[in-house]
Amino acid sequence: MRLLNRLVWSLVTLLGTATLIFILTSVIPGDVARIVAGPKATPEVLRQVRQRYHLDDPVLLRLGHYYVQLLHGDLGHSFVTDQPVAQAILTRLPLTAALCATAVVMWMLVAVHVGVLTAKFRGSPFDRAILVLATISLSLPAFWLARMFQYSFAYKLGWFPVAAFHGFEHLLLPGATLATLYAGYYARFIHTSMVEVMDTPYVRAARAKGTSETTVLFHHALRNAMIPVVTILGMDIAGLLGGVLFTEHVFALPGIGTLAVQSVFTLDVPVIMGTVMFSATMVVAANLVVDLLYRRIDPRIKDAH
Amino acid sequence: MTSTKGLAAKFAIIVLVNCRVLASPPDSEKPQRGGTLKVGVMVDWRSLDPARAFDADSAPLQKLLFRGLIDFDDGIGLVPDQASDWNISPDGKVYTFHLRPGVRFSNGREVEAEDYVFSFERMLDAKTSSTGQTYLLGILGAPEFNQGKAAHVAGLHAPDPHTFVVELKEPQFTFRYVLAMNFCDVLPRDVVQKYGDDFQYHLTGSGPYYIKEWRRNISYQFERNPYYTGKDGYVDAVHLFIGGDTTLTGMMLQRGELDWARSSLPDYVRFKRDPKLRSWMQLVDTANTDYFFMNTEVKPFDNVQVRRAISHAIDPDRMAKLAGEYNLPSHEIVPPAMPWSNSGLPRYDYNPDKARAMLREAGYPNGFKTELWYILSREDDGRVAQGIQEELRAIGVRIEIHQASYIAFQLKAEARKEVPCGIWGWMEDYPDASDFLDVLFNGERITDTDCNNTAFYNNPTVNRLIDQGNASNDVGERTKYYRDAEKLIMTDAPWVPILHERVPMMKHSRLHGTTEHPVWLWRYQYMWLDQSEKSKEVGG
Repeated sequence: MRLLNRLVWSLVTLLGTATLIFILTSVIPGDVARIVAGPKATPEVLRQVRQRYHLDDPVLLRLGHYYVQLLHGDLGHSFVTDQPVAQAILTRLPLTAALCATAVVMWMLVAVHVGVLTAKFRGSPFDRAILVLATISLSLPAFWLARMFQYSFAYKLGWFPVAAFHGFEHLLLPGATLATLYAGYYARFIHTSMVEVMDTPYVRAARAKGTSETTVLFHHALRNAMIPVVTILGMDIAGLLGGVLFTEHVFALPGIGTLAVQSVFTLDVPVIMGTVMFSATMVVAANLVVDLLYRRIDPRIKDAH
Repeated sequence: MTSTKGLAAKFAIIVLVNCRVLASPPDSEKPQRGGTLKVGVMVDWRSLDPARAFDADSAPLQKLLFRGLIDFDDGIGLVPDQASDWNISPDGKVYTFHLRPGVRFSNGREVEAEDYVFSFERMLDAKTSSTGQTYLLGILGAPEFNQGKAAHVAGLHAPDPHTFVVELKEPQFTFRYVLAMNFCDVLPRDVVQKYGDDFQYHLTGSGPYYIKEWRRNISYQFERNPYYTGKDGYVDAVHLFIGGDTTLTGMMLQRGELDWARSSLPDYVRFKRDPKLRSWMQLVDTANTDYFFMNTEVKPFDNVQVRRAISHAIDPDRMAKLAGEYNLPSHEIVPPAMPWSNSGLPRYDYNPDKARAMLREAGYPNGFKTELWYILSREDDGRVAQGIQEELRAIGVRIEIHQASYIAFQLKAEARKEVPCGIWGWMEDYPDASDFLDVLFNGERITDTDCNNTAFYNNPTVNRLIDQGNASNDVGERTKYYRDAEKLIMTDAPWVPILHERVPMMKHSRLHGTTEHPVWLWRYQYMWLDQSEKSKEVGG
């Protein structure tokens, strides 16, 4: 019953998102037929295009068509390229996923070690310095950091390719950008979680048994401290898969984020709607999965209800 | 119809040769074969299908894939391309082409006259929704076919596999230029019929290259067409990188990740100031005019004195610099890069005092208030709009600037009495003055909406001169009519011409053969790469 309830609310959220994005894109000024047919199109060509895309239909009828399309998994065709939107998204998903994986590995490697060590040495100058750095990394704008990394390490020093995607090395700098933005937050999150766990009786018991400090920290304490971290990580990965807008755009990586940015620049309404819907679906699905998994992982949550 | 080789020679457009005569590249160094030319562009096209793509950036790329009957030489002279010869009947209505034997599509099949009939009919088919159809409506029976009243176009014939005949309803001098446009390139009828709408994913032409891979909005990879029999391109492949922005492409080019890309204004300044990078910047003249138009149907611009006063109050030299210091100030309608010249045009010297006096005489001693519209995405126009606002304030004209998206602007500016004045530009479709004067100033073409004549200028004498020019087949006579029309238009001042655009292009030091062309801007086929150590050079 609870699962059904969660499913219904997830669908309501998606329906609401679909309706909202439809309304927003409907009020964009300009003639869509012109976008499709080009600036030098004759009135006759414009008429043909309007007919083909049902642009002269009443708004409610078009909204109805849109719902039906979505139910069939059809996100329509791009006005600019005529490509099916679902196909455009799916072709770009592997690259966005690879970028996310690269970034997650980078930031978790840093965050786990820094989080554990700052918990161990909490209150020390090292801990305070990390807190400052974490706050700075949290406050950096993505587009600025991406451009700075690109300018310094690719353009000036030539250590990495400047942009585009021709292989794994093209993911390192964008991955490092995302990792810098997220590592601070995760380091502090792991730190807080570790501090809570390190005061628990089973950690004290492990120490009393004479277990080495490294084993206590990384084996006993970290495993429990990671439960809430993994939950947040799942949500963040889902959000990133929906499109890493600025990082992908700055490095001209052909992922979902770049597709979304390009569609906004070209007023490609079906692609704008498609990428937003895809992103929303990823977040809603991740929310649902995490919610259900969490109950399995931690029975106390189930009992609390 | 009789053979009219003599007549056509009079027009200097017939060349009886069995091989391509497109001139060799003018670079003094010996071109090298091989390598991959890497080109950067911002956005992808809906398709490079000749029926779909119609813009300055896609045209030179289409030339790699598709070819047709005739082409422009290094200038605007017409030469046979995949036709061995052609002639025009004495009445100017029938064009006969003999196809060069052995010309093949990139799938290996030989090009036949039926393919041309099919390609032209496809362009004219309303279902294709091609912008190009308007250029072909002069063919006999084309409007009837376009409206679905006829199964075939009456004026298109293929009497044998190597002869293609086009019959026009009326003589049309500019039709020869239309034939050189990408719209008229030949497509394999069997491939188009097989794939239908999906032909865009299976583009097949008779050009020197074919598309090996197209990743939508990401990249194109062009490779040599093994069946091409004409003058081959120098590079083995062309890789088109799509995306990023002008700042990014500047950095990529300097690091050797690109060879050829459009520059931004900041990069232009940066390259120009750097002694090493100066030679990496190339300015390409375009047959374009950016202009300030005044709607002659809206007060106070219905008063010619007011328009002339405004013309004296705007300094095109300053405006061109505001738009980008590489642009050329304009004092004429038809761009010199067409090429075109008209020495007798009236010139409005920049003189605010004179402008104020003229406004007073016109009944506006305290000036007036009006709206100026421009397209938001055309950043250069934004700077020009502010410059005009400042200069007109000096003579008491208070301008309220309005911005709009391209589409919204077009809808408004092309509708009657909607926009009092604004900034826009026009680039040639083909190198003939009528493409500016007839399209933009012939009052007989004014419509309530979708009207290219955004000044809604209508002078019967000008209309008559333009019509006479259009009807004439004599180059000298046509030029005279159009020059007279341009003079009258400038006298009536519906426009203040602002600038002729020059495109700043960044090119890596290893790239050669980037000589500009008056119609195609540049030709990738003639670009070549220095394969020596220079290819690894890093700029800046």
